[in-house]
Amino acid sequence: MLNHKKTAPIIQLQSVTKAFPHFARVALRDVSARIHPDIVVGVVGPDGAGKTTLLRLLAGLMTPTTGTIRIFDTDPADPLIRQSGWIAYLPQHFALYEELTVVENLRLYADLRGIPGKVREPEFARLLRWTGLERFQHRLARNLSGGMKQKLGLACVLLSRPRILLLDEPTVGVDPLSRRELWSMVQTLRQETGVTVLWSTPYLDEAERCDDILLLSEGQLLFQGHPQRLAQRVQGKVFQIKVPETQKRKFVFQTIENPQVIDSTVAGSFIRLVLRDLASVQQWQRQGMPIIPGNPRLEDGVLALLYERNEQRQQIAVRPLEPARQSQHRHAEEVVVSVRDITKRFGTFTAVDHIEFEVRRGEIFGILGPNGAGKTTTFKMLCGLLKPTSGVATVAGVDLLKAPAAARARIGYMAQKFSLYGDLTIEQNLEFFGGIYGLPRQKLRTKVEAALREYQLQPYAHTLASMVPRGYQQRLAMACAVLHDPSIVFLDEPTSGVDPVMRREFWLRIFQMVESGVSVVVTTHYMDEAEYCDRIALMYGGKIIALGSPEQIKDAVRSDQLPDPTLEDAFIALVQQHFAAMQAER
Amino acid sequence: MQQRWHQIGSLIRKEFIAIWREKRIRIVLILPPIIQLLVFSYAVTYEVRNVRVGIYTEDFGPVVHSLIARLQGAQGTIASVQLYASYQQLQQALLEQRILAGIRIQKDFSRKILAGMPETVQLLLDGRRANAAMILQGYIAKMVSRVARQFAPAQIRRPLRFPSLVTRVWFNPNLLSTWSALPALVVILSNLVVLMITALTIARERELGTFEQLLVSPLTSYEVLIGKAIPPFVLGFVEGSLMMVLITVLFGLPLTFQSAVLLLLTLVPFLFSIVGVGLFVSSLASTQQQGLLGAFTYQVPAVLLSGFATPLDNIHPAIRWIADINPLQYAITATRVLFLEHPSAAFLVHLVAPLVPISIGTLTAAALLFRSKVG
Repeated sequence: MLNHKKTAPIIQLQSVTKAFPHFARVALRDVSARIHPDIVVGVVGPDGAGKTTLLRLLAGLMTPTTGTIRIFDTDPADPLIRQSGWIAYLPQHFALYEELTVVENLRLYADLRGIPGKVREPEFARLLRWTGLERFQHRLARNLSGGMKQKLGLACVLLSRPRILLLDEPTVGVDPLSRRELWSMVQTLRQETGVTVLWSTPYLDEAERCDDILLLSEGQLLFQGHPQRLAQRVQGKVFQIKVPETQKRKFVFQTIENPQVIDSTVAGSFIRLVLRDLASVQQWQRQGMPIIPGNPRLEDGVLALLYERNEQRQQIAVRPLEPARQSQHRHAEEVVVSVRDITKRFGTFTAVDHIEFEVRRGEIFGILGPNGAGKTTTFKMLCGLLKPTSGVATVAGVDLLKAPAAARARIGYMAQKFSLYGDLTIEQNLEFFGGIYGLPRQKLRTKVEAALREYQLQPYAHTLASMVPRGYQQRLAMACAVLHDPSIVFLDEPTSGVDPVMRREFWLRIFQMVESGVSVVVTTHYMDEAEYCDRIALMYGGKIIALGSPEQIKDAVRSDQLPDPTLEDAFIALVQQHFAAMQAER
Repeated sequence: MQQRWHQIGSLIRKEFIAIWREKRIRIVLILPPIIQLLVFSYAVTYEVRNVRVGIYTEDFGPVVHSLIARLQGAQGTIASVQLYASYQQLQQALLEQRILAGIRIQKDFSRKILAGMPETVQLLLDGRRANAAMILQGYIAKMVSRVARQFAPAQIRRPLRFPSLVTRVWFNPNLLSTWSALPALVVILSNLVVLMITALTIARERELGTFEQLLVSPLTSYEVLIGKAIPPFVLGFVEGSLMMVLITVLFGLPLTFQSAVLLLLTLVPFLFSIVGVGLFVSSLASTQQQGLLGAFTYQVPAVLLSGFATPLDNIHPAIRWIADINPLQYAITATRVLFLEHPSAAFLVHLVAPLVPISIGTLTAAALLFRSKVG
């Protein structure tokens, strides 16, 4: 390819705005960008930032309200461009036909694309080899794992040999191993064919590996450029402090309230700090704490940028500990959740396969795993929403399926998707949940007011829950789940799809809860979040493949090749071991 | 106990807010009453009005002239009388639906009538419109025999061999079809409103994912059902009462105050039966679309087998039992009775009593299904 061609942008957006009727917020606001060919561009942002809208506009599936988009110097909605197959779009939930096999799906898309018979077979063979789906080509699409489905979807859209590939969150909910495979597949593809890839993702570690990123937030483009450039904003301001295991959470609490600290997170045996100025460093050094400089990451840069825009970081009100709770606090090794050999089958499919674990009072217990690993099914069995096929799950000593309904007042549950009443206002939602949990009128009033204050929901108190930004919806969901002061809280992917600032906030709230003696069971597919948990269960294919503290799990895979594994490394290694063990059994 | 009602009360309050905010449900509450009122009062009528009649006659005597004059004089029922030049043309007109009935009169008709001899007239009817044709047949037959009698010689006329009928219509002296259709509207509309709202209520929460949030709360499944049952019941009751007042005022039906009270009392077991059906449908449905489909699957046969449009006596005995457990049937019978007569309390109780076991039955079925789907 000629050099001057490389420098000419392949996609140009000129003050593109997209508004949808009946939605108060604009999906994209005045976005201008140029995208050069033959690179992987990360489209980054939380849910509701406008990622999907942007990709759909580029795919020509809709037209901007104002502004212009040029691809190959043409309007992407031009029928000629659309027929050419030069632009391929893989939506979040690609329409695979679940009742067809892998190869039948490919054949169907080849028909739809009008690919002549002669070319087909070699093309199928090539794509199947490339995706590693050769062995599964006669398997029904619905029996594929999440990762395999994404690979097949990718193969289907590649049939038209596109020059621009638009991928909408291809790795969300996919296990870490498949995530890595998808990433390297796309890299190879780019190198071999020179395709330009737009890869949307909520994961910043993934975005960090892109050649260029578009950072979106609430419809606005906050940053475009090489991820390194954003990370460099905090160059020299990142440090790692070694803190004793038991003090980690407390230290995070203290530092996060310090206005000089941009970010404070648990990273393995260290606390990772991003600072605004370096005065505190000397202070910690004087206290004799071992502190070493760290490498800035994209996430640090994004956080710094978001905080700059919001001027001041929102302070999270610390919930005063109730005396009764304090005295119980970390009292004993009291078991509050006990799962004994439970299995759940749906027809012939085993969603959860003989799992066992215990959660103790005041503990954060994380259940980790990709979509389809059985996390949510386990959760539902614990909360009495599903009946186990065999085995017993007890919460606070009772089986919630059999116990009187009043026993459920002791648990708080936050479902995976936003599951509050969109046609009720924020305040009405809180009043409703307080009401059905039997809070007396007077107490309900004070509780609702406290929650509005504590979760900073006042500005939206009288707004319909469906109309507020996603982060506020999540806050509301959490506020509703704990309004009645439950002693055990179940949170199903509370941080899925929210921005990093909000994710920090959620974890701080979780820390606060456990400090007051509440036990928290949480599921997540963010591997880095698992570091915050006291103990975690790694689930894969319905089984728990590892159980223990994050340190224990990492120790289990520590080796000469992997001297300091992350939890993601550990997960991948454990999945591979699990496969090897299964093969050996056969 | 008070505590529990406080909890259920929160659910009921939420349901009302959600129902009111939902545009689709607001439409269900407001649009059908207006449309049905218009449709039933002005469009749907069993009376035969403004039909066209054709005649082919080979006889032009005085009897035929008189018959034609009579037919033309039947304004309102017969819009026009068309003479055809041949039998073929008459048949063709019937075939093309230009006329509903064709009369063929043979040569010598007048002469034979005047001579007191027996004679026949051929009547062709369009069976595609069976109902109207049957009614028209009655009219024409009556006219033909009157004309014949008028022209028959005196010695034949005098000894009347047939007893003559003197008709008196009770309850609805002018046989207005609106009087028999409108009362049924009260229950058909509240049936629709209640069914739609309840059929959507649980399915909607399932679809939105809020249902699990309800199930993990300390509310028992019965309490959830009570909370879900009361708002649609109240709305159906209000809608029914409004319709009752509206049709009484607008169409002047003879509803007494006492009957009105009895009618509202009848609505109670009736609406509970429908709430049960709606909740049953909603427990089965996992999306609102399925809920809506379920509601229509119930609504259409329920109306058809209610005696609203067609007499229940015509139903084949094999499916007669469906009509017997159809709450709408009892409610419609009761409203007609209440609007048009002054029944004794005992008679009304006898009419309405089956609604009590039916409502208990549907509510229990809904509760059992709900529990089994949840557990």
